[in-house]
Amino acid sequence: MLFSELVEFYEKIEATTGRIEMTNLLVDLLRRTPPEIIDKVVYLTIGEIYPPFIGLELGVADKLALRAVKLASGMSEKEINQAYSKLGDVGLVGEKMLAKRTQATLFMEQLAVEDVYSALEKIAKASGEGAMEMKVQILSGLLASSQPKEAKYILRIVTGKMRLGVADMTVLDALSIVFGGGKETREIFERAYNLSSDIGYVAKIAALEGIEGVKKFKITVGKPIRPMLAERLSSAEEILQKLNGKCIAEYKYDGERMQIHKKNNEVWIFSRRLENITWQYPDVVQMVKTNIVADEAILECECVAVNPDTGDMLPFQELMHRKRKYDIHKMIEQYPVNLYFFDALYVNGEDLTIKPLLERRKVLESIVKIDDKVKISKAIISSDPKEVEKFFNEAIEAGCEGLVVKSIGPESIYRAGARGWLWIKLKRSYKSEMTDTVDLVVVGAFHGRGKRAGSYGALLMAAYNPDRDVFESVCKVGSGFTDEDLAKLPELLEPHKIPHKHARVDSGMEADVWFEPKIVLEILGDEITISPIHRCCWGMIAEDGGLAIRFPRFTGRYRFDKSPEDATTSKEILEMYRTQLKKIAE
Amino acid sequence: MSFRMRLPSADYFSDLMKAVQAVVDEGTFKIDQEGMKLIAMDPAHISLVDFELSSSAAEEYVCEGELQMTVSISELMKFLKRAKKGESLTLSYDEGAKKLELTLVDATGSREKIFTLNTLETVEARSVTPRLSFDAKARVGVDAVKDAVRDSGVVSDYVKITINPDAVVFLAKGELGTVQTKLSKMGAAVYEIEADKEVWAHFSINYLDKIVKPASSLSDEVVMQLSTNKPIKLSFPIPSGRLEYLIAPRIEGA
Repeated sequence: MLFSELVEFYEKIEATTGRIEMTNLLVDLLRRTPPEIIDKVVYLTIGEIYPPFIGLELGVADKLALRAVKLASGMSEKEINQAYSKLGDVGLVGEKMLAKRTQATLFMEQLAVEDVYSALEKIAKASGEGAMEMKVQILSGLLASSQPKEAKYILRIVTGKMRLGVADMTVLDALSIVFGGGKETREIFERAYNLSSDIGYVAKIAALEGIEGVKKFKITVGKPIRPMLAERLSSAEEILQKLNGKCIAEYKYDGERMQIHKKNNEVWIFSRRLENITWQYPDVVQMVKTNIVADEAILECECVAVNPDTGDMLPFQELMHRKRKYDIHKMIEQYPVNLYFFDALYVNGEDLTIKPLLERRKVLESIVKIDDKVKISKAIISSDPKEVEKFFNEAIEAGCEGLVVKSIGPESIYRAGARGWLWIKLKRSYKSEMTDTVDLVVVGAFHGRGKRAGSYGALLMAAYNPDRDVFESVCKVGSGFTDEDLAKLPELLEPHKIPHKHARVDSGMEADVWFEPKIVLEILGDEITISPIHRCCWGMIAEDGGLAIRFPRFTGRYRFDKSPEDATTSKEILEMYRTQLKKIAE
Repeated sequence: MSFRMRLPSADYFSDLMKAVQAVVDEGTFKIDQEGMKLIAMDPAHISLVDFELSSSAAEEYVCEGELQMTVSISELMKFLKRAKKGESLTLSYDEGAKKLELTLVDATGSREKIFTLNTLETVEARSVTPRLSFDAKARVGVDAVKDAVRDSGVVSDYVKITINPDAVVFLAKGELGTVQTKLSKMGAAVYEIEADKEVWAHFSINYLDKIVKPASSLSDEVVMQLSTNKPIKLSFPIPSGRLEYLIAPRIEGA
């Protein structure tokens, strides 16, 4: 098949906006495509060369592509740059420059689809020293043999900007019409796609074996399953209504969603977008090997960065330190992670996606060996919106984004690749960012572990309520302490140690050690949130909650100049909460 | 299968490789009893090199069967640059081991240096040589051509080359002005012209210079063959071998 035939079709598609028309064009194309290359045609049409889990990208920047245009067209850099700033589309620049091409070539051939595909493959695979140069050379060779219109699409594909509007769903529609006999067979194709995440492969099997071949698709360990997605609502009450009054509510951890595949001693990690990210997380691979007791498994978890000293969860941004190519092992130490498993899709040969959620969770519980780092997502089963709201506040305070509330009825199967009302996100619509520091009183402490063994791992902090003359707990702080601080703290606090909670302390949290309110520290946090645990301003904002500081850290300033009664008051915290409360922009 | 060739001068081989490198960086040599050959186009398909070094150039030449050897010529050049004047060069290639061994021996035979280069995977490329006929031919001193090309570069990126029965003319036009070099048939730089009419075409100075410069250290003369608005063929006569290039023209209005 000539590439120019494909381009002719792309030109037609570009001129249409209607999905039905687009599907019809796609149907025409697929009918004309030889089965041996139908996968390639499908990948190119959606602007890719492989399914995402292969982990090979074309990775050609516009600037690099323009260099190839220069080589192939013989036009000056000035002319090319002018065209680029005017048109803003490398594809159009290439088309224009090649049309004006003054440099003849020695050898012009009509490009076949395979020629283009294999050149693009070479570009994707070029790596190491001189890879960029190599990519430019291959691309300019390809452009040298291209007609202007062909160049337009080659350049768009290579720079990741195909944008024809043909999505995987349109391809599935077309496949069902061509190889299934009608759109009513779409579900069969969609299922195959959801289980394999490889639309090109589905097309190829359909073309070679017909619908019977497509029906035979099975889950394969090592090939990602398209993830089930959640809808979103803003109140627990609405959510429970949608879920027929009963649900399991799970912490929505602020981490990276991972689909983990294990086959004996081999482990794959796929991102939410189904990219293979195994190499980034050698520590997770190790955790899976030791903590997942199954020969074969496909599980889902959230991977969350934690403070190595306190074990507290850190915000998602901290995980970004792990997205790098070098010093991975150093990063593992500096930014360790915990895993919170929440679903099991396949275990020891059994496809669990067709089982209801609670059954899947039971299997999950039976194969995950829980320890400090590997856990099962925290969850409650409830039919009470108030209970869910309370659990939600607890999740926020613990550093989560909110809850994922899921159906537990018989219909609660794992719907791969689908966003539906079986899973519903409950996120905050408001937050109150903390802009100022506060001075809080140490009222308790928690024993440290690891590096902090022998000292305190975290301190329980309280604000002062002059009306009640009570110190109300507001956060547990474990971050911001230097080694020096850690050495000093037990000594500093020792004289104030008491065997039980102080009478003037109101805390919803049980500390390991209690102190008489004496020492004042300066604390900064990310936000003030509603807390079902902490007692500051209890009942004033939420019926069944107080206020707490989210992601608190010690600024390094000891306020020995302040008496505990001079500490920030509960009222002041309430004021801060109110003035900073803003709707979260999505 | 393997191949072995001893050349009296490592320098000479180094110059040959520089001449090949003007067109391609990664090259696949076809080697048989007759010698080593390479025909390759640059990635943009604008220039082509046709190179052959016949077995008669070697003091010793052993080749069983036919084999292919793909090397990065810039990597090979790194080794060849280490050659000193008067050193001989032995190339030996083992197709199975994918290694090319270069042995440099000084004139007295007392010092031997061995470099081993990992060769590359051969990618089967269609190396089609365009079939061309030429209306005019001129045999010209290579230095005169080199100068004419460089002088043209002062005002433009490309140059119009004309061959007529009486002269070879290089004409470049740019914003700055024009540069013209006329090499007359009667002069010292032109050895021979075969042309019934005037023919001409435009060529990229970049490509011309890239090719003429290394070739000028291998040959004193160049045979230029041309038809109007068609590729130019540049042949550099070398002993026991062939060094020829094609360059596609730029199609200009004037």
